[in-house]
Amino acid sequence: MALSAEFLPIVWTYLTESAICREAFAAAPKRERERRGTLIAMIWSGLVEIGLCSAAMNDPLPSIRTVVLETLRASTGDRVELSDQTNIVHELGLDSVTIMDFVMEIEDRLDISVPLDRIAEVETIGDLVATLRDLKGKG
Amino acid sequence: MSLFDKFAPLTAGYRKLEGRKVNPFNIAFDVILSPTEAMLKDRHVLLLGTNNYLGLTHDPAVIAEAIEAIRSFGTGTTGSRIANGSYDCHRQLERALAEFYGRKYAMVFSTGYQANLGILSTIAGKNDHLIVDADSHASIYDGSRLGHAQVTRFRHNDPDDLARRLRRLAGVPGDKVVVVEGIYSMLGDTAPLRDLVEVKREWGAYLVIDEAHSLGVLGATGRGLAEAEHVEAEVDFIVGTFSKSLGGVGGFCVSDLDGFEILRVASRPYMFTASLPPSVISATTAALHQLRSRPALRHQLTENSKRLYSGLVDLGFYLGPQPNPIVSAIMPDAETACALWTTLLQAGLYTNVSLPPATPRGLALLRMSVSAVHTYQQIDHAIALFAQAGRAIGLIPRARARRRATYASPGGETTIAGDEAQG
Repeated sequence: MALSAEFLPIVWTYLTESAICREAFAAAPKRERERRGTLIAMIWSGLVEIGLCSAAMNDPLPSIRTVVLETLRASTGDRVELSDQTNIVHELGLDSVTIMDFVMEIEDRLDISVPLDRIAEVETIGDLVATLRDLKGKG
Repeated sequence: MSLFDKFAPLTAGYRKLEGRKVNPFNIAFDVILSPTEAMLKDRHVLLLGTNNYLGLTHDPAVIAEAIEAIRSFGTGTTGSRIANGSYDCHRQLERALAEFYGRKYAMVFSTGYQANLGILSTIAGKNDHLIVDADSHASIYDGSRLGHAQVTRFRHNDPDDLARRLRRLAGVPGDKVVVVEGIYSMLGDTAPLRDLVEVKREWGAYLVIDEAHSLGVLGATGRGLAEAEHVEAEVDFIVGTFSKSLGGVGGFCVSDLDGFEILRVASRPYMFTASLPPSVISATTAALHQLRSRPALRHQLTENSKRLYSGLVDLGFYLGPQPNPIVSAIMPDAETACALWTTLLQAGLYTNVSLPPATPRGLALLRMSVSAVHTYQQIDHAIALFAQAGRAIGLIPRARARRRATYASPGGETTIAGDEAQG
């Protein structure tokens, strides 16, 4: 299957979320971005062929809220009920660096940069979604 | 309700540490015998966590200069360079630093922390952008926050992520300033500076490098990572400290950018603080002279670092990715880090505990720093104590040491020794 450019960000997301793929990428020569693109395409077509990535193609652009919840669950596990009112610092017990790290995951998925002062303002998941919508809208 | 209620989680964590016999974050040495030895009450300890890379704190020539300066100029300047005047020694040190780095301009700050505060908060203004490495030291984060620029972080040592962030800012008004470190203080890894410089050049950004832990450690003449990677011309600002390889206290910034001198009346952390005492300044000038005239110190430091690193890898410890003078053993958790630290201290070896959020990726670290004046006997003794303590607390196998992946992989790339560390 040919890889169309609009799927690349999604492919990237799926690939970087898999620990195995992450290691494969870490092992690749760092600065060869073009080769990396080819590598993504190769791995992607392989995954599609064996039927592992069709889900991604049916769900092209998840909403910002979904991205936040998915990313948070990946770092907190399923043990906590998450809602817009959930306080990220107090209820989830994430320290400042952990929060910045998990916002970084979201930045990659949405292709935006979130300035640190905007992260500092965030208390709840709802705040974060609103901030991301604002920044994504501007971009 | 008390004013300090907001610190409840921190208090709880700290109380746990205070419950121990010795608290790794609250230790006081009674006598410092040499750069590598001290007394804790009546216990003689080998120092392996002081950042005293060249051992210059006790250098006779450095001490003589400090004493002479105190006799001639007194104990302190009692004021700021701007409000109360500089002494000639401040200017001399700035000239010596500029000359050492081959740059036009140099500014001295009262601490390394303030050097980052003073430079970052000032060179990036309201509509500018600071893009800092995610593993940056607290002073880089604080300096970024003190100013009015927009601050984002890029993935640690990832030139591609830096490029993505600069791409997102393409067309956005304002200067872009990238901030990285020579050697990162927690895991002792270096920045991929040549790749970062390429990205910086491609996107027309400025580059600041903090060589706090690499001054006197890396480079043909000890100027740091930028010298070692032959990219000094591409680095716009070098920030550094006197409190590690130079054995004193204070910070500096050197640059070739014309107009730099205006920072003296624009940078608040430079203006609104007392200048360094003459003794510190003269000692630092003398230490810089030692650093330059005794390259053997740097070579010995490299040898000592490799010796400790490979010794600990052989024992089965998971270490940072490169054998630099900062050698960090990655612990399974904070409790184990403290337990190992205590066991080592009781056996007469002083190291550091580093815990999140000061560390990257939530790692608990048992951190060491090697000195050029450690003898091979001292390093081997430290490794032996690590073997003993590591086995005593069940951290490494009791059986004979296993050989692990080392820093030199076939591709010449560096990897973290041990697989689990990647998580």
